[in-house]
Formats: sequence, C-alpha cells, structure tokens
Amino acid sequence: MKNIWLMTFYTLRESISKKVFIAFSIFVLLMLVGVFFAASSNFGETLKQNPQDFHRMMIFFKMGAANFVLSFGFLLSIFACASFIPSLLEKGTIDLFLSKPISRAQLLFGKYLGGLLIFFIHIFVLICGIWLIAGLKFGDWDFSFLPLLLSSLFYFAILNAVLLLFGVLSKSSGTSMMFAYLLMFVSPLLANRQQFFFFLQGKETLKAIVDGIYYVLPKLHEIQNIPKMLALGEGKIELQILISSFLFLLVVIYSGFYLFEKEDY
Amino acid sequence: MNIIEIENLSKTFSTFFGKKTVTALTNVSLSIEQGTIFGLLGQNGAGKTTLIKVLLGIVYPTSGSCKMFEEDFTNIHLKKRIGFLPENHKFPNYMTGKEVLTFFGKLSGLENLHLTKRIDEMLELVQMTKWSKSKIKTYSKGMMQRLGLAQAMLNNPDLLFLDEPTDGVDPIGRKEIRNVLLALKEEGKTIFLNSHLLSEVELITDRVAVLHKGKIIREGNVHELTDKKEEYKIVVDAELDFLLDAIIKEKYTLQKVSSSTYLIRVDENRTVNDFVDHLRNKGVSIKEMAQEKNSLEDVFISLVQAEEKNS
Ligand SMILES: Nc1ncnc2c1ncn2[C@@H]1O[C@H](COP(=O)(O)OP(=O)(O)OP(=O)(O)O)[C@@H](O)[C@H]1O
Ligand SMILES: [Mg+2]
Repeated sequence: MKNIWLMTFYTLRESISKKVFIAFSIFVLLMLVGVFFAASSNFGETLKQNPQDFHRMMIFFKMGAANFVLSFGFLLSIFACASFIPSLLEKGTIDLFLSKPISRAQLLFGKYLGGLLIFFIHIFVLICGIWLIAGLKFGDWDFSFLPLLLSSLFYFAILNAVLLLFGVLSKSSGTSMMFAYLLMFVSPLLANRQQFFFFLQGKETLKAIVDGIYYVLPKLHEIQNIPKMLALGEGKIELQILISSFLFLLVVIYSGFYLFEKEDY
Repeated sequence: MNIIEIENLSKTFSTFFGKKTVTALTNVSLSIEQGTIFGLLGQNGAGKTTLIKVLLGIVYPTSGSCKMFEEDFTNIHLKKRIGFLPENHKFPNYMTGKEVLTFFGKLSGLENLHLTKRIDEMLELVQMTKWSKSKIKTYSKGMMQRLGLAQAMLNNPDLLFLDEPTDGVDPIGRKEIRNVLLALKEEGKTIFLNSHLLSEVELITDRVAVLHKGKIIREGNVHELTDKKEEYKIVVDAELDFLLDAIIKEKYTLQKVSSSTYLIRVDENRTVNDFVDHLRNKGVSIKEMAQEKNSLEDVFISLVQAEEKNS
C-alpha cells in the first residue's frame, strides 16, 4: 500500500513539474470565474423571477455550466495524464523502478491512481465551486448536483484505463491519447445510433455490428447524463449502462496489467 | 557461500509476432561467491546487460534457473538487499539529486529518519554534496553516473549490480570509485560488474567471465587468466648483442626492444639467474627488470579472436 501511495505521489509531483497540473488548475479557476459572471448577469435575474420553476432552472444552470467545462476538462485531463505510463516505461527509467522491491502491479496502479487523483482534485474544485456559486448567488444549496462528481470520476477512470492499456502497448503518449479521444467522440454517436440507422436501411448485419460495438464500449455519454436524470427525476436509468461500462473498465485495466507483467524491458 | 547461482540460463527475445528472434543468452551457468568482485566482459551485444536484467526480473528468462541469496530469484523481497546501477540510467530531470535519492530510497523501503542521514553519507562518498540541490537536467554525464552510484548503494545492499559504472567518469573519479568498491568488498559485499575498461576490471575484480554472443567462453580468476609469461623485460646500460657469450645466447632467447631494453625468453624449467650472473660478470649494470604479464585485454582479445575463428 505504501508503495502504491509513493507512486501516486510521484505521479502528482511529475505533473506539477511538467506544468500540466498548473495549466489545468488555471483552466478550472478561469472557468469558475466565467460561471460566476454568468450567475451575476441578467440570466441570474430571470432565474430568480420564476420561483415556480426555480428548482428545475437551477439544475439546468449547474449541470449546463459543469458539463460545458467538463467537456474541455476531459480533453485536458487526457492530455495531462497520457504521458504518465510512457514516461515510466522509458529505457533507463523502468530498469531502475523494476530493480526496487515493488511489484509491477503496484507500479502501474500507483501511476493510474495518480492520474485519477489529479483529475479528482480539479473536478472537485470545479463542481464544489459551481455549487458554492449557486448557493451564494441564489441560495440554492441542493445536493442533487453533487453526484456529477462521481459520474465524472467514473468517466475519467475509464479514459485513464484506456491511457494505461495503450501506454503499456505502445509506450507512446500520442497513441494512447488518440484512442482515449476516439472513445470519447464515438460514445455520443453510438448513444444516438438510432438516428443514423436511417442510412443503414436494409443492412441488418451492419446495424447488428454497430449495436454490438455499442454494448461492448463504455457508455460515456450516458454516464455523464445520469446525474441530471437523477436530479430532475426524469427518464429511466438503465443498469446495463453502468454494468457494461464497469466491465469494460475492468477488462481494459486487467489487460494493461497483464501485458505489463509479461513484458521484457 | 554463493550469493548468485545461475544454471543453464537462456534468453531469446522475440518480436510481437514471434517472427524475428534474437538469442541474447545461451545456457549460461555461473556462480558468484559472497564477498567477491565479479567482472562480466564481452563485446557490444554479447548479452551482459541482459544477464543482469534477468537476475533483477526486468527481463524474463526463456529457460534455466537462478538463485540469489540461496532463494529463488523471483522473490521480490530480495531486492531490498540489492543495489543496481543501470547503463544509461535516466532520473526524472525535474528533481534535484537529493530528491531523487529520497524517492528511490523510500521505494527501496528505507525509513525517513535513517534515509536522510544515509543520503548525506552517500552524496559525500560520491562527492556530489555540492550539486545535491541542483536539478538533474543540469548534471553532466559523470555527475549523473556518480548520483546513479549513490542511488545504487543507498540501501546498503549486500549485492551490487553495476552496469558500466565508470562510464563517463573522469580518471580521478574512476580511481575513487574503484576504492569505494574495494572498501565495500572488505565489508563482505558482493559486486557484479559489467565493464569494457579491462585495465580497470583487472585492478579490482577477483573473478571474470567472458561472454561471447550469449555464451560464456571463459571463466576464471583474474590472476589465472593474466598469468605471467616466461619472459622478462630488462633495462641495462650497454649494448648486449656483442657482449654475451655463446653459451648464454643458446640458453636464452634475446629480443631487442630499444637501445637499452631487451626481452629475455626463458625455458619453463630454468630461472633467469644464470643470465643475470653473466651480465654482472661482464660488468653490465641492470637498471630495471620485471617479469612480463598478459594483460586482461590481451587475454580477452585472443579469446574472442579464437572464438570468431572457430565459428
Ligand atoms: N528488449 C530487447 N528486445 C529485443 N532484443 C534485445 C532486447 N534487449 C537486448 N536485446 C538484444 O540482446 C542482445 C544482447 O544485448 P545486451 O544489451 O545484453 O548486450 P551488452 O552485452 O550489454 O552490450 P553493450 O556492451 O553494448 O552494453 C543484443 O543483440 C540486443 O539487440
Ligand atoms: Mg550493456
């Protein structure tokens, strides 16, 4: 356990020294300032003038602001965390780590957690910041917004696992970034695949394949919508979404660990 | 006691699809005794680094077995007793020397209190105290190497693997490192050394093995390998060519090296005494005399050349 924590701390240190941590922090703070001004504008006034719709409007305001920032936040965090595994695997570095009394699994897991921690610190500040702004400006201290913290963490845990697997496979941060981005962009397309099926009329096998891909890949798009659905009490949350995404996460992480364990360096 | 015991170790690297393979080690068997300095010699690509990496679990062997400290080498806890200086090691360049040592010291399982003291000692030993607060990216090659050594010795290991430790270190630094290694040996530590600097290896190692294309072609005591030749170098103050009697010329083969220096070859069962007596009788004064030796380099080159011819 101590070893894992050491590696996590080392990863945090690495990101601070490479300035990506600071850049990420500045981004989050700027975004919070933006949200603050949005809340102070006329839009904030209209919110107050519709007391019957207040709760709903507040949810839209907070979720909208958070999801807007997060869409960039995920891109940024992929960028920030993609180099962690490849930098560990560099010739002359990995030899040193592997000669220490720490298992390969601990090494990798520490790095993985490091990425999650960096993401969590920023997202925590962002979401709590938005929650505070909403509370202070509109007196809305509703907690139903906070599950977004968990869903975002789950979302990034999946992306970070992809970075881990492709980092081990390719030893290149560029390649692992490409795969993580691909997964992010493909997810909303697959979620709305029914709309595209219009173009695939008569091609049933193709439709089945697209369906299959949808069920195998993690449902990032849907995961990010869950907190909003919960807060509004609208729509039905499919358990399948959580289970299949979680399975994907496990399989990807396990594959990464397995390949790392077998590899000669 | 044998600290390291390797039996029939082989390693074949294969690419992802297993099409192209490189055989780095073939049936290597070695044992290394505690409290000795062992030198592994071999040309580039002979498999020296691979052998160390196998022992440390960085590379997996294809077949064969190894024991360290009389335990199976895959036991991760053994690494607490091991130090390693990899070739061309890279430390995180945003850290200072001291931070690097702190981090790797903790990873080796050292406790904070003990660690700080130990770091200062090691920095002093490799003479890097002055640079300990500078970032790694400002270090010269020799400084990196010194810090690497400090890192390898930090956990006071019983077994030290050094892959070309004096690479890039200046002559004075090299001598200091040799002295440090000899002092460690005095303490009963075992040192496994890969090096191309044969004159240096000759100075400190007890045993050496020569690796050629993954096979051990010779192993032995340094003294056995660099045995003395039945040949003496002699420096005198006169031209010997016309001075010596025929009897002496028959007994010894004389070769002129320069105007006053000669090489005398002696038969196996004869000493050089007669020759010296003869010179003294003739009134020649002997300025210098020494038995000639095969250097480790001579031995290495002839071994490798013989092996190349055979194959
Ligand atoms: N990870 C690897 N994958 C494939 N081949 C490898 C790998 N590591 C080493 N080799 C091959 O194994 C052989 C032995 O390499 P090794 O690094 O052990 O040589 P060396 O004796 O240390 O050489 P040098 O004196 O140059 O350091 C070489 O042919 C090398 O190409
Ligand atoms: Mg080498």
